[in-house]
Amino acid sequence: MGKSWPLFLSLVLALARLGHCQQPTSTKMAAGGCGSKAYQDTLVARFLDRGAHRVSYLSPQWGQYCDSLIAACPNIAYAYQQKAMPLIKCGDYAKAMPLMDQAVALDANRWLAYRGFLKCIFTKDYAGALTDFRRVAQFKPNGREMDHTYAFFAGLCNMEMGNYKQAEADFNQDIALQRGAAGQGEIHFNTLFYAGLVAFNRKQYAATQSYLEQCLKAYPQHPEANYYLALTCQAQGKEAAARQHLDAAQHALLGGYRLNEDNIFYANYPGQVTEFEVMQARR
Amino acid sequence: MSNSKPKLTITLLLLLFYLPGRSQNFVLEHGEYMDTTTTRNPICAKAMTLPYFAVDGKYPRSSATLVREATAFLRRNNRKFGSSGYVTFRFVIDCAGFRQPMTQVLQTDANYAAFHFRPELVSELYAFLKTLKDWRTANYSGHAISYFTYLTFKITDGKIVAVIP
Repeated sequence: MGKSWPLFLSLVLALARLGHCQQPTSTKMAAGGCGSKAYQDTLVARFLDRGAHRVSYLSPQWGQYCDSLIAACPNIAYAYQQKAMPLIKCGDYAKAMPLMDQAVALDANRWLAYRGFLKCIFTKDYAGALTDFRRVAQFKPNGREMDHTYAFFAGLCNMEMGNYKQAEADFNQDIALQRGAAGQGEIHFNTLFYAGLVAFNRKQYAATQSYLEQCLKAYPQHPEANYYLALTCQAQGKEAAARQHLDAAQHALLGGYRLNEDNIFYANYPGQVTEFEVMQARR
Repeated sequence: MSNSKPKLTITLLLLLFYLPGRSQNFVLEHGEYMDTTTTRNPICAKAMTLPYFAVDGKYPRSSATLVREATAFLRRNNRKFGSSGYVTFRFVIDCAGFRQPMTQVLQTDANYAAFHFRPELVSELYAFLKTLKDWRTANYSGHAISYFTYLTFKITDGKIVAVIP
Protein backbone atom coordinates (compact mmCIF):
# COMPACT_ATOMS: atom_id res chain seq x y z
CA MET A 1 0.00 0.00 0.00
CA GLY A 2 2.96 2.28 0.37
CA LYS A 3 2.72 3.28 -3.24
CA SER A 4 -0.99 3.11 -3.74
CA TRP A 5 -2.06 5.78 -1.23
CA PRO A 6 -0.13 8.62 -2.77
CA LEU A 7 -1.53 7.50 -6.11
CA PHE A 8 -5.07 7.37 -4.73
CA LEU A 9 -4.67 10.83 -3.24
CA SER A 10 -3.33 12.17 -6.49
CA LEU A 11 -6.29 10.62 -8.33
CA VAL A 12 -8.72 12.20 -5.87
CA LEU A 13 -6.95 15.52 -6.23
CA ALA A 14 -6.98 15.15 -9.98
CA LEU A 15 -10.72 14.50 -9.96
CA ALA A 16 -11.25 17.45 -7.64
CA ARG A 17 -9.30 19.68 -9.97
CA LEU A 18 -11.30 18.50 -12.94
CA GLY A 19 -14.22 20.43 -11.53
CA HIS A 20 -12.39 23.72 -11.33
CA CYS A 21 -12.28 25.86 -14.40
CA GLN A 22 -8.84 27.05 -15.30
CA GLN A 23 -7.75 30.25 -16.91
CA PRO A 24 -7.40 30.41 -20.66
CA THR A 25 -4.15 29.20 -22.15
CA SER A 26 -1.64 31.73 -23.29
CA THR A 27 -3.03 31.58 -26.81
CA LYS A 28 -5.90 34.03 -26.84
CA MET A 29 -8.50 32.90 -29.30
CA ALA A 30 -10.59 35.32 -31.20
CA ALA A 31 -14.08 35.18 -29.72
CA GLY A 32 -15.64 35.73 -33.10
CA GLY A 33 -14.12 32.51 -34.45
CA CYS A 34 -15.98 30.37 -31.96
CA GLY A 35 -19.11 30.63 -34.07
CA SER A 36 -17.35 28.85 -36.91
CA LYS A 37 -17.61 25.04 -37.03
CA ALA A 38 -14.27 24.80 -38.81
CA TYR A 39 -12.59 26.88 -36.13
CA GLN A 40 -14.19 24.80 -33.37
CA ASP A 41 -12.92 21.64 -35.09
CA THR A 42 -9.36 22.92 -35.10
CA LEU A 43 -9.60 23.62 -31.37
CA VAL A 44 -11.11 20.20 -30.65
CA ALA A 45 -8.28 18.60 -32.64
CA ARG A 46 -5.74 20.62 -30.71
CA PHE A 47 -7.06 20.31 -27.15
CA LEU A 48 -8.84 16.97 -27.26
CA ASP A 49 -7.58 14.80 -30.15
CA ARG A 50 -3.95 15.80 -29.69
CA GLY A 51 -4.32 16.70 -26.03
CA ALA A 52 -6.72 15.09 -23.59
CA HIS A 53 -7.10 11.93 -25.64
CA ARG A 54 -3.39 11.25 -25.36
CA VAL A 55 -3.48 11.07 -21.57
CA SER A 56 -5.58 9.02 -19.15
CA TYR A 57 -8.92 10.59 -18.45
CA LEU A 58 -8.14 10.22 -14.76
CA SER A 59 -5.08 12.41 -15.19
CA PRO A 60 -5.33 16.07 -14.09
CA GLN A 61 -4.22 16.99 -17.60
CA TRP A 62 -7.49 15.66 -19.04
CA GLY A 63 -9.50 18.28 -17.18
CA GLN A 64 -6.93 20.95 -17.97
CA TYR A 65 -7.20 20.28 -21.71
CA CYS A 66 -11.00 20.46 -21.45
CA ASP A 67 -10.73 23.68 -19.49
CA SER A 68 -8.39 25.14 -22.08
CA LEU A 69 -10.86 24.32 -24.81
CA ILE A 70 -13.74 25.79 -22.82
CA ALA A 71 -11.71 28.92 -22.11
CA ALA A 72 -10.88 29.29 -25.80
CA CYS A 73 -14.44 28.70 -26.96
CA PRO A 74 -17.08 28.32 -24.25
CA ASN A 75 -19.70 27.25 -26.77
CA ILE A 76 -18.26 23.81 -27.65
CA ALA A 77 -20.62 21.28 -26.04
CA TYR A 78 -18.21 18.38 -26.57
CA ALA A 79 -15.68 19.98 -24.20
CA TYR A 80 -18.18 19.93 -21.32
CA GLN A 81 -19.20 16.34 -22.05
CA GLN A 82 -15.59 15.22 -22.16
CA LYS A 83 -14.89 16.92 -18.86
CA ALA A 84 -17.98 15.36 -17.27
CA MET A 85 -17.33 11.79 -18.42
CA PRO A 86 -14.54 10.74 -16.00
CA LEU A 87 -16.28 12.52 -13.14
CA ILE A 88 -19.47 10.55 -13.52
CA LYS A 89 -17.55 7.29 -13.75
CA CYS A 90 -16.09 8.07 -10.33
CA GLY A 91 -19.36 9.07 -8.67
CA ASP A 92 -18.81 12.84 -8.60
CA TYR A 93 -22.28 13.87 -9.71
CA ALA A 94 -22.14 17.39 -8.29
CA LYS A 95 -19.36 18.25 -10.73
CA ALA A 96 -20.37 16.03 -13.63
CA MET A 97 -24.04 16.82 -14.07
CA PRO A 98 -23.82 20.63 -14.35
CA LEU A 99 -21.23 20.06 -17.08
CA MET A 100 -23.62 17.72 -18.88
CA ASP A 101 -26.40 20.27 -18.46
CA GLN A 102 -24.14 22.81 -20.13
CA ALA A 103 -23.40 20.39 -22.99
CA VAL A 104 -27.14 19.84 -23.48
CA ALA A 105 -27.84 23.57 -23.35
CA LEU A 106 -25.32 24.10 -26.13
CA ASP A 107 -26.19 21.10 -28.29
CA ALA A 108 -29.33 19.23 -27.26
CA ASN A 109 -29.43 17.41 -30.58
CA ARG A 110 -26.17 15.63 -29.74
CA TRP A 111 -26.13 15.38 -25.94
CA LEU A 112 -29.69 15.23 -24.63
CA ALA A 113 -30.04 11.49 -25.20
CA TYR A 114 -26.57 10.90 -23.76
CA ARG A 115 -27.58 12.74 -20.58
CA GLY A 116 -30.72 10.60 -20.46
CA PHE A 117 -28.51 7.53 -20.78
CA LEU A 118 -26.31 8.72 -17.88
CA LYS A 119 -29.37 9.32 -15.72
CA CYS A 120 -30.81 5.94 -16.61
CA ILE A 121 -27.70 3.77 -16.22
CA PHE A 122 -25.33 5.75 -13.99
CA THR A 123 -27.42 7.74 -11.52
CA LYS A 124 -30.65 5.70 -11.63
CA ASP A 125 -32.64 8.91 -12.03
CA TYR A 126 -35.32 7.21 -14.07
CA ALA A 127 -37.83 10.07 -14.05
CA GLY A 128 -35.13 12.50 -15.20
CA ALA A 129 -33.97 10.09 -17.89
CA LEU A 130 -37.51 9.64 -19.19
CA THR A 131 -37.92 13.40 -19.46
CA ASP A 132 -34.73 13.62 -21.51
CA PHE A 133 -35.63 10.72 -23.80
CA ARG A 134 -39.16 12.02 -24.39
CA ARG A 135 -37.76 15.43 -25.26
CA VAL A 136 -35.11 14.14 -27.64
CA ALA A 137 -37.57 11.75 -29.30
CA GLN A 138 -39.57 14.79 -30.39
CA PHE A 139 -36.83 15.96 -32.71
CA LYS A 140 -35.03 12.63 -33.31
CA PRO A 141 -37.82 10.02 -33.31
CA ASN A 142 -35.58 7.30 -34.71
CA GLY A 143 -32.47 8.30 -32.82
CA ARG A 144 -30.23 5.92 -30.93
CA GLU A 145 -27.89 6.14 -28.00
CA MET A 146 -25.29 3.56 -27.00
CA ASP A 147 -26.55 1.07 -29.61
CA HIS A 148 -30.17 1.29 -28.46
CA THR A 149 -33.31 3.16 -29.41
CA TYR A 150 -34.69 5.76 -27.05
CA ALA A 151 -37.67 3.46 -26.52
CA PHE A 152 -35.28 0.86 -25.08
CA PHE A 153 -34.11 3.28 -22.38
CA ALA A 154 -37.67 4.48 -21.77
CA GLY A 155 -38.56 0.83 -21.23
CA LEU A 156 -35.77 0.41 -18.68
CA CYS A 157 -36.86 3.55 -16.83
CA ASN A 158 -40.52 2.57 -16.75
CA MET A 159 -39.65 -0.95 -15.66
CA GLU A 160 -37.51 0.36 -12.80
CA MET A 161 -40.30 2.73 -11.76
CA GLY A 162 -42.77 -0.17 -11.70
CA ASN A 163 -44.71 1.08 -14.74
CA TYR A 164 -44.69 -2.35 -16.33
CA LYS A 165 -47.49 -1.79 -18.81
CA GLN A 166 -45.77 1.29 -20.20
CA ALA A 167 -42.43 -0.55 -20.17
CA GLU A 168 -43.99 -3.34 -22.23
CA ALA A 169 -45.24 -0.77 -24.74
CA ASP A 170 -41.77 0.82 -24.86
CA PHE A 171 -40.05 -2.50 -25.60
CA ASN A 172 -42.65 -3.28 -28.25
CA GLN A 173 -41.81 0.05 -29.86
CA ASP A 174 -38.11 -0.74 -29.54
CA ILE A 175 -38.69 -4.09 -31.26
CA ALA A 176 -40.73 -2.46 -34.03
CA LEU A 177 -37.99 0.12 -34.64
CA GLN A 178 -35.32 -2.58 -34.82
CA ARG A 179 -37.41 -4.71 -37.16
CA GLY A 180 -37.70 -1.72 -39.46
CA ALA A 181 -40.17 -1.03 -42.23
CA ALA A 182 -39.40 -4.33 -43.93
CA GLY A 183 -39.82 -6.22 -40.67
CA GLN A 184 -36.56 -8.09 -41.23
CA GLY A 185 -34.25 -6.40 -38.72
CA GLU A 186 -32.61 -8.49 -36.01
CA ILE A 187 -33.68 -7.77 -32.43
CA HIS A 188 -30.95 -7.00 -29.90
CA PHE A 189 -30.70 -9.78 -27.31
CA ASN A 190 -30.96 -7.27 -24.47
CA THR A 191 -34.23 -5.95 -25.85
CA LEU A 192 -35.50 -9.52 -25.69
CA PHE A 193 -34.06 -9.94 -22.21
CA TYR A 194 -35.71 -6.81 -20.84
CA ALA A 195 -39.02 -7.52 -22.55
CA GLY A 196 -38.82 -10.86 -20.74
CA LEU A 197 -37.94 -9.20 -17.46
CA VAL A 198 -40.96 -6.89 -17.71
CA ALA A 199 -43.18 -9.92 -18.35
CA PHE A 200 -41.51 -11.67 -15.38
CA ASN A 201 -42.30 -8.72 -13.14
CA ARG A 202 -45.91 -8.96 -14.29
CA LYS A 203 -45.88 -12.72 -13.53
CA GLN A 204 -46.64 -13.43 -17.19
CA TYR A 205 -44.50 -16.52 -17.25
CA ALA A 206 -45.38 -17.79 -20.73
CA ALA A 207 -44.35 -14.47 -22.27
CA THR A 208 -41.27 -14.34 -20.03
CA GLN A 209 -40.19 -17.77 -21.21
CA SER A 210 -40.76 -16.88 -24.83
CA TYR A 211 -38.69 -13.67 -24.69
CA LEU A 212 -35.88 -15.18 -22.63
CA GLU A 213 -35.61 -18.24 -24.88
CA GLN A 214 -35.34 -15.93 -27.89
CA CYS A 215 -32.65 -13.99 -26.05
CA LEU A 216 -30.74 -17.18 -25.28
CA LYS A 217 -31.01 -18.26 -28.89
CA ALA A 218 -29.10 -15.12 -29.85
CA TYR A 219 -26.73 -15.24 -26.86
CA PRO A 220 -26.78 -18.63 -25.08
CA GLN A 221 -24.47 -17.55 -22.25
CA HIS A 222 -26.54 -14.49 -21.29
CA PRO A 223 -26.30 -14.83 -17.48
CA GLU A 224 -29.38 -12.82 -16.59
CA ALA A 225 -31.59 -14.48 -19.21
CA ASN A 226 -30.62 -17.86 -17.76
CA TYR A 227 -31.11 -16.62 -14.21
CA TYR A 228 -34.59 -15.17 -14.75
CA LEU A 229 -35.61 -18.14 -16.86
CA ALA A 230 -34.61 -20.30 -13.89
CA LEU A 231 -36.79 -18.17 -11.59
CA THR A 232 -39.64 -18.50 -14.10
CA CYS A 233 -39.22 -22.27 -14.09
CA GLN A 234 -39.18 -22.27 -10.29
CA ALA A 235 -42.40 -20.24 -10.23
CA GLN A 236 -43.97 -22.86 -12.48
CA GLY A 237 -42.66 -25.77 -10.43
CA LYS A 238 -40.20 -26.91 -13.11
CA GLU A 239 -37.32 -27.56 -10.72
CA ALA A 240 -35.08 -29.57 -13.08
CA ALA A 241 -35.21 -26.90 -15.79
CA ALA A 242 -34.62 -24.21 -13.15
CA ARG A 243 -31.45 -25.98 -11.95
CA GLN A 244 -30.26 -26.30 -15.53
CA HIS A 245 -30.60 -22.56 -16.15
CA LEU A 246 -29.02 -21.66 -12.82
CA ASP A 247 -26.06 -23.88 -13.75
CA ALA A 248 -25.85 -22.11 -17.09
CA ALA A 249 -26.01 -18.68 -15.42
CA GLN A 250 -23.30 -19.61 -12.95
CA HIS A 251 -20.99 -21.06 -15.61
CA ALA A 252 -21.50 -17.99 -17.76
CA LEU A 253 -20.65 -15.59 -14.93
CA LEU A 254 -17.60 -17.62 -13.93
CA GLY A 255 -16.56 -17.63 -17.58
CA GLY A 256 -16.73 -13.84 -17.69
CA TYR A 257 -19.93 -13.52 -19.72
CA ARG A 258 -22.02 -10.46 -18.96
CA LEU A 259 -25.01 -8.53 -20.33
CA ASN A 260 -22.67 -7.26 -23.05
CA GLU A 261 -23.27 -3.56 -22.85
CA ASP A 262 -20.36 -1.17 -23.32
CA ASN A 263 -20.86 0.56 -19.98
CA ILE A 264 -21.27 -2.54 -17.87
CA PHE A 265 -17.83 -2.02 -16.34
CA TYR A 266 -18.92 1.29 -14.87
CA ALA A 267 -22.43 0.60 -13.61
CA ASN A 268 -24.82 -2.26 -13.09
CA TYR A 269 -27.66 -2.45 -15.58
CA PRO A 270 -31.22 -3.00 -14.31
CA GLY A 271 -31.80 -6.62 -13.36
CA GLN A 272 -28.12 -7.48 -13.55
CA VAL A 273 -27.10 -10.28 -11.19
CA THR A 274 -23.89 -11.74 -9.80
CA GLU A 275 -22.88 -15.23 -8.73
CA PHE A 276 -24.24 -14.38 -5.27
CA GLU A 277 -27.82 -14.04 -6.52
CA VAL A 278 -27.47 -17.21 -8.58
CA MET A 279 -26.32 -19.11 -5.48
CA GLN A 280 -29.17 -17.62 -3.47
CA ALA A 281 -31.69 -18.83 -6.04
CA ARG A 282 -30.49 -22.41 -5.52
CA ARG A 283 -31.69 -22.42 -1.92
CA MET B 1 -26.68 25.91 47.34
CA SER B 2 -22.95 25.44 47.06
CA ASN B 3 -23.56 22.10 45.28
CA SER B 4 -25.77 23.58 42.57
CA LYS B 5 -22.99 24.51 40.12
CA PRO B 6 -21.32 21.07 40.06
CA LYS B 7 -24.76 19.48 39.69
CA LEU B 8 -25.57 21.74 36.79
CA THR B 9 -22.23 20.94 35.19
CA ILE B 10 -22.82 17.22 35.62
CA THR B 11 -26.33 17.55 34.19
CA LEU B 12 -25.02 19.47 31.19
CA LEU B 13 -22.29 16.92 30.66
CA LEU B 14 -24.80 14.07 30.84
CA LEU B 15 -27.03 15.92 28.40
CA LEU B 16 -24.07 16.40 26.08
CA PHE B 17 -23.37 12.67 26.04
CA TYR B 18 -27.05 11.91 25.59
CA LEU B 19 -27.31 14.02 22.45
CA PRO B 20 -26.91 11.97 19.27
CA GLY B 21 -23.32 11.94 18.05
CA ARG B 22 -22.45 13.50 14.73
CA SER B 23 -20.73 11.42 12.13
CA GLN B 24 -16.99 11.47 12.00
CA ASN B 25 -16.39 13.80 9.10
CA PHE B 26 -13.14 15.50 8.21
CA VAL B 27 -13.17 18.43 5.86
CA LEU B 28 -9.92 18.68 3.97
CA GLU B 29 -8.91 20.99 1.16
CA HIS B 30 -9.89 18.49 -1.51
CA GLY B 31 -13.06 17.08 0.04
CA GLU B 32 -14.84 15.61 3.01
CA TYR B 33 -13.79 12.31 4.51
CA MET B 34 -15.39 9.81 6.83
CA ASP B 35 -11.96 8.53 7.75
CA THR B 36 -8.50 9.79 6.93
CA THR B 37 -6.60 6.83 8.33
CA THR B 38 -4.01 5.38 6.02
CA THR B 39 -2.86 1.83 6.50
CA ARG B 40 -0.05 -0.15 4.97
CA ASN B 41 -0.48 -3.73 3.99
CA PRO B 42 3.10 -4.91 3.33
CA ILE B 43 1.85 -7.43 0.79
CA CYS B 44 0.52 -4.57 -1.33
CA ALA B 45 3.48 -2.25 -0.94
CA LYS B 46 4.48 -2.56 -4.57
CA ALA B 47 1.00 -3.00 -6.03
CA MET B 48 -0.32 -0.60 -8.66
CA THR B 49 -3.64 1.16 -8.06
CA LEU B 50 -6.13 1.18 -10.93
CA PRO B 51 -9.74 2.34 -11.26
CA TYR B 52 -12.45 -0.23 -10.44
CA PHE B 53 -13.67 -0.33 -14.01
CA ALA B 54 -10.31 -1.51 -15.31
CA VAL B 55 -10.47 -4.65 -13.16
CA ASP B 56 -14.17 -5.55 -12.91
CA GLY B 57 -14.05 -4.19 -9.36
CA LYS B 58 -17.74 -3.57 -8.71
CA TYR B 59 -18.91 -5.17 -5.45
CA PRO B 60 -20.05 -8.71 -6.26
CA ARG B 61 -23.72 -8.24 -5.41
CA SER B 62 -26.57 -7.00 -7.54
CA SER B 63 -27.82 -3.47 -6.86
CA ALA B 64 -31.13 -4.96 -5.72
CA THR B 65 -29.37 -7.14 -3.14
CA LEU B 66 -27.39 -4.17 -1.85
CA VAL B 67 -30.54 -2.04 -1.59
CA ARG B 68 -32.25 -4.80 0.38
CA GLU B 69 -29.30 -5.35 2.72
CA ALA B 70 -28.66 -1.64 3.27
CA THR B 71 -32.35 -1.02 3.96
CA ALA B 72 -32.41 -3.83 6.52
CA PHE B 73 -29.25 -2.42 8.10
CA LEU B 74 -30.82 1.02 8.47
CA ARG B 75 -34.02 -0.42 9.88
CA ARG B 76 -32.27 -2.09 12.82
CA ASN B 77 -32.21 1.21 14.72
CA ASN B 78 -35.77 2.14 13.78
CA ARG B 79 -34.73 5.64 12.86
CA LYS B 80 -36.46 7.57 10.14
CA PHE B 81 -34.69 9.94 7.78
CA GLY B 82 -35.91 12.39 5.18
CA SER B 83 -34.33 14.12 2.17
CA SER B 84 -33.44 12.87 -1.29
CA GLY B 85 -30.22 12.70 -3.24
CA TYR B 86 -26.96 10.79 -3.39
CA VAL B 87 -24.36 9.80 -0.80
CA THR B 88 -21.14 8.52 -2.34
CA PHE B 89 -18.18 6.94 -0.56
CA ARG B 90 -14.89 6.67 -2.44
CA PHE B 91 -12.10 4.44 -1.18
CA VAL B 92 -9.41 1.94 -2.15
CA ILE B 93 -9.50 -1.85 -2.05
CA ASP B 94 -5.99 -3.13 -1.54
CA CYS B 95 -4.39 -5.92 -3.50
CA ALA B 96 -5.49 -8.46 -0.88
CA GLY B 97 -9.16 -7.43 -1.17
CA PHE B 98 -9.39 -5.30 1.99
CA ARG B 99 -11.19 -1.97 1.96
CA GLN B 100 -8.84 0.73 3.15
CA PRO B 101 -10.19 3.02 5.87
CA MET B 102 -9.51 6.34 4.14
CA THR B 103 -12.91 7.22 2.68
CA GLN B 104 -14.07 10.33 0.91
CA VAL B 105 -17.75 11.23 1.11
CA LEU B 106 -19.66 13.22 -1.52
CA GLN B 107 -23.26 14.30 -1.12
CA THR B 108 -25.74 15.89 -3.49
CA ASP B 109 -29.45 16.46 -3.55
CA ALA B 110 -31.68 14.79 -6.13
CA ASN B 111 -30.79 17.51 -8.64
CA TYR B 112 -27.05 16.88 -8.17
CA ALA B 113 -26.45 20.11 -6.25
CA ALA B 114 -24.09 19.96 -3.27
CA PHE B 115 -26.02 19.05 -0.17
CA HIS B 116 -25.59 17.55 3.28
CA PHE B 117 -27.81 14.78 4.56
CA ARG B 118 -28.29 14.36 8.27
CA PRO B 119 -24.94 13.19 9.64
CA GLU B 120 -26.64 10.26 11.38
CA LEU B 121 -27.82 8.90 8.03
CA VAL B 122 -24.37 9.30 6.48
CA SER B 123 -22.87 7.53 9.50
CA GLU B 124 -25.32 4.68 9.14
CA LEU B 125 -24.56 4.28 5.45
CA TYR B 126 -20.87 4.33 6.20
CA ALA B 127 -21.39 1.72 8.91
CA PHE B 128 -23.16 -0.42 6.32
CA LEU B 129 -20.31 0.05 3.87
CA LYS B 130 -17.96 -1.27 6.53
CA THR B 131 -19.97 -4.50 6.72
CA LEU B 132 -19.20 -5.30 3.07
CA LYS B 133 -16.33 -7.77 3.20
CA ASP B 134 -16.46 -9.56 -0.14
CA TRP B 135 -14.55 -7.11 -2.30
CA ARG B 136 -12.86 -8.78 -5.22
CA THR B 137 -9.13 -9.13 -5.40
CA ALA B 138 -7.91 -7.84 -8.74
CA ASN B 139 -5.13 -8.78 -11.11
CA TYR B 140 -3.64 -6.85 -13.95
CA SER B 141 -1.10 -8.41 -16.29
CA GLY B 142 -0.65 -11.23 -13.81
CA HIS B 143 0.02 -8.97 -10.82
CA ALA B 144 -2.24 -8.41 -7.82
CA ILE B 145 -3.25 -4.76 -7.81
CA SER B 146 -5.18 -2.36 -5.61
CA TYR B 147 -8.07 -0.39 -7.05
CA PHE B 148 -10.08 2.67 -6.13
CA THR B 149 -13.82 2.41 -6.26
CA TYR B 150 -16.97 3.97 -4.89
CA LEU B 151 -20.40 3.10 -3.63
CA THR B 152 -23.29 5.52 -4.02
CA PHE B 153 -26.58 5.30 -2.17
CA LYS B 154 -29.45 6.95 -3.97
CA ILE B 155 -31.89 8.16 -1.34
CA THR B 156 -35.50 9.17 -1.95
CA ASP B 157 -37.38 10.61 1.03
CA GLY B 158 -34.90 8.98 3.37
CA LYS B 159 -35.18 5.53 1.78
CA ILE B 160 -32.44 3.77 -0.18
CA VAL B 161 -33.78 3.22 -3.68
CA ALA B 162 -30.58 2.31 -5.52
CA VAL B 163 -26.97 1.42 -4.88
CA ILE B 164 -24.48 2.41 -7.57
CA PRO B 165 -22.40 1.24 -9.42
